[in-house]
Amino acid sequence: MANPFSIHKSTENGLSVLALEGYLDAHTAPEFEKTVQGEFEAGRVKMVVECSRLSYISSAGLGVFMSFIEEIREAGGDIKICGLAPKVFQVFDILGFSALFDIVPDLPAAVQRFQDAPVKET
Amino acid sequence: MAAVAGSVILGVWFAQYWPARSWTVLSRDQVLARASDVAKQFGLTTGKLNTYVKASVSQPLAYYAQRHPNDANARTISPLSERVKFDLPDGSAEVGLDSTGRPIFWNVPDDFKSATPAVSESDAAQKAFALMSGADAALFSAASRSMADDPADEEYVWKKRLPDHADLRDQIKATVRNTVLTRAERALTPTTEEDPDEETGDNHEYWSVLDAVFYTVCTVADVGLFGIYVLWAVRRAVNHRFSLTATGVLFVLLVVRSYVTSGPTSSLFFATVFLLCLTTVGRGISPAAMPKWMPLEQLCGLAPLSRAAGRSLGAGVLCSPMLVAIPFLIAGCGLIPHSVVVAQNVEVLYSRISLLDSLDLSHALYALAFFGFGVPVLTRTFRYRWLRWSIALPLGTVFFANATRVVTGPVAAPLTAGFMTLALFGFLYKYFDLLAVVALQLTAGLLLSAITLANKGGTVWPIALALAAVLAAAWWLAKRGQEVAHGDPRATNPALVGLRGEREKLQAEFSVAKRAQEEMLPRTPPTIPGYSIAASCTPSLDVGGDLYDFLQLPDGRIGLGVADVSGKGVPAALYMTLTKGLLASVCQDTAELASVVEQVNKHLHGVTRKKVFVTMALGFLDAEKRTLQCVRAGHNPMVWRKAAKDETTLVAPAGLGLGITAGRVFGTQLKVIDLELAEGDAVVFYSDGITEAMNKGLEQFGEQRLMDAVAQTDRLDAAGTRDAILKAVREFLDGVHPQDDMTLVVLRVGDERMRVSG
Repeated sequence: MANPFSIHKSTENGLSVLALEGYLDAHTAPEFEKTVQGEFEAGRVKMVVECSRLSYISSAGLGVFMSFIEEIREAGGDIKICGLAPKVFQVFDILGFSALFDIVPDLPAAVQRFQDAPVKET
Repeated sequence: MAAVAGSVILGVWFAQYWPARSWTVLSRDQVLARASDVAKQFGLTTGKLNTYVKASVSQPLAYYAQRHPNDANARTISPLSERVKFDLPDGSAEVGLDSTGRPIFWNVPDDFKSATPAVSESDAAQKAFALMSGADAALFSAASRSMADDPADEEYVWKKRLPDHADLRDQIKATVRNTVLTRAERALTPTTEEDPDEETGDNHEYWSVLDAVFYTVCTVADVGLFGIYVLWAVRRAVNHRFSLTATGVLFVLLVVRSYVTSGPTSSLFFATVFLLCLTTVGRGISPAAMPKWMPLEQLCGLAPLSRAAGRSLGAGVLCSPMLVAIPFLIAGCGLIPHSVVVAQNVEVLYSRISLLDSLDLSHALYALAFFGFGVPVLTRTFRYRWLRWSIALPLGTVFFANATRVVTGPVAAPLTAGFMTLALFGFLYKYFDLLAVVALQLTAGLLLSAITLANKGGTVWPIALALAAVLAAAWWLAKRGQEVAHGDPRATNPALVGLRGEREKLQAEFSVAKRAQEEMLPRTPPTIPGYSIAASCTPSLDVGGDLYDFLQLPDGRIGLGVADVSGKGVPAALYMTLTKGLLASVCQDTAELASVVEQVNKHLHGVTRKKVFVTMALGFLDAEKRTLQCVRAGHNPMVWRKAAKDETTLVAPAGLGLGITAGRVFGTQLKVIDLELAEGDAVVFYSDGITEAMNKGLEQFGEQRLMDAVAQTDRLDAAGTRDAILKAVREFLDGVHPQDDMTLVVLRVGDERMRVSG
């Protein structure tokens, strides 16, 4: 079963914004992974992942966040996550992501957070 | 090959041996107009009455006509006749015509009031004679009056003096009551006395008894089958909505068909029988013994046609020319001397619903009854193969001889046809499944109807083209199924298809891995006095990463919990075994819960290359103190049912998934929580396959439904609780196959003897 998934890239205040839409699962995670990898290699290490149109995330999707965060932070960047629907947020929360990532309500808040705390302190 | 051979046989012998060729066939409207005209002459104005037309072929007459092509008498009345039924306020009037429109039958209720009353009884009878004898009137002897069964009736009989062969009897018989003609019939019947050396194919009465018996058996068997099928589908909770829909559609089609062809009374009768049988017979045979039903179920249940189902469907359709050709093979190539093909599916000639009639569902049911019901019953009843075969072969031969009676003559003819039909169906059933059997029967019906219609109208080309297109499509379906079915274990029954090629080898190894993985799960939970524990893991189609385990700790406590590796497939399975190993080895040295989990995290983080992580919910039970110490490493919260307080809560202490991050952050985040358990309490560990199980409406089962399900189980032990939860999920899924592994571990506090198992 192929679930629809798409990524929309844009920039906001010099931050790289990745807007996710649809189902991020084992089938679609590689696409997301490639995108994040591309941003990282291009030196755009300050990323906001905008999830207001993300309807589902599986463990494989969460794995993508994890696999890059250390490198990104070492390079002085960060991934801020915003716009999570309650159900999707629950998945992040169960796994303990709220302790590892900055999760904020919306894009302006994410921009603000980059100014306040460029890298989340853990 | 069957398609080619069948088409060739049809092409060669059809034109020569198809009896309907020589008949004049009127259109439905012509038949109705003619019948109204006849009815009017007998004193019935048919203006706005409901009408039904039925066609039939007299087998003895058809046989005689073909065996004696030079006997002009045999062509007085054609073997094909139509009966037009007019609905009267009380009862019905029937007018029979032969295929040229000559009146040969009249029947009304005893209290029929004629619009044109006759002066005397003999007047009424003479009128019938005049109409039915037509130009032959002078050839008939004078009327002889005879005693009727009912003294109120007068019977008149006219016999024709036949100039040529005397082995035909042509007579007109009329019954009159109070000057009203209630019944009249002209019958042309072959007699056997003059030609004792030759069998006439007049096995009519013998067959009609068989017919009645078989029809009853088949109807009951088929309806029972659908009952079983529905029950089976409901029990397995697989696509039962669809199977009910499919059965419903079939039911409606059958009822509509009988309504249109025979009127409301007969369709009501049919509906009642169908429903009665559905509710009473459906428990006869073991549903598990019917894997041959799978593709039918797939077809009913899933929107896309799976490749394996396509293969069966294609094979069935491809064999249909062969099935239709069997009688021509027997009569045409002289396999059985003196045998004759009798036209079948003549119903379509006058049907208002030719397409539905062409499908001839009642005939499709014969094959379904034999293979769907008869064969499994035989298999179940008799243990010995030779015994089964020696029963199935003669029974099947007679069964199909009767079901597909298109060839007549010496008794060997229908029997040979029956045997060949059985062989063809048997081949499809053995190497394919019931879907192929049904497809064959339905397509053969359509094919026969198509050629019957084509023969009448002379428009052979469009039908031949359509047929070629259907066969080509079937060939493509069969070919496509054959190529791909081997590689996809879900698409086919592995028992039917041999493994071939690299991909299959990989698939086989994959399934070995899956089995090995399943065997790693503890088979039986530990027994602890005063507690009951149950677990289950329902794997999804892929190799998954779910795990549950029980641990004996150094301090005497018992560890229990579930874990879930991110992602799917082989990597997830490998990390699952790694996690199990790590957990077991760490627990040998320490019984401190936080330390156990931290160590597992440290090892996993070292090897998982970041992308993979493991979530785990783990509890250490102190049986004496009745405390359960819990951690939740990024896993779904546990459900704690406090039975005495009638409370259900989620236990969700903070904690990160294992392997995500190194020691320090993990350690500061991890919280250990102690649950003080009380009598009757239950704690449920589960994987997200349960809460994220998604139904057709893309709705997730969710925590609330899980908690509600657990809240209903206070009187059950752990196993009963587990079963109740799984049942709730299954009902919620309503036939949708779970996407993810569903894993459960249930701990119930309380004396086992006090509780009922699910």
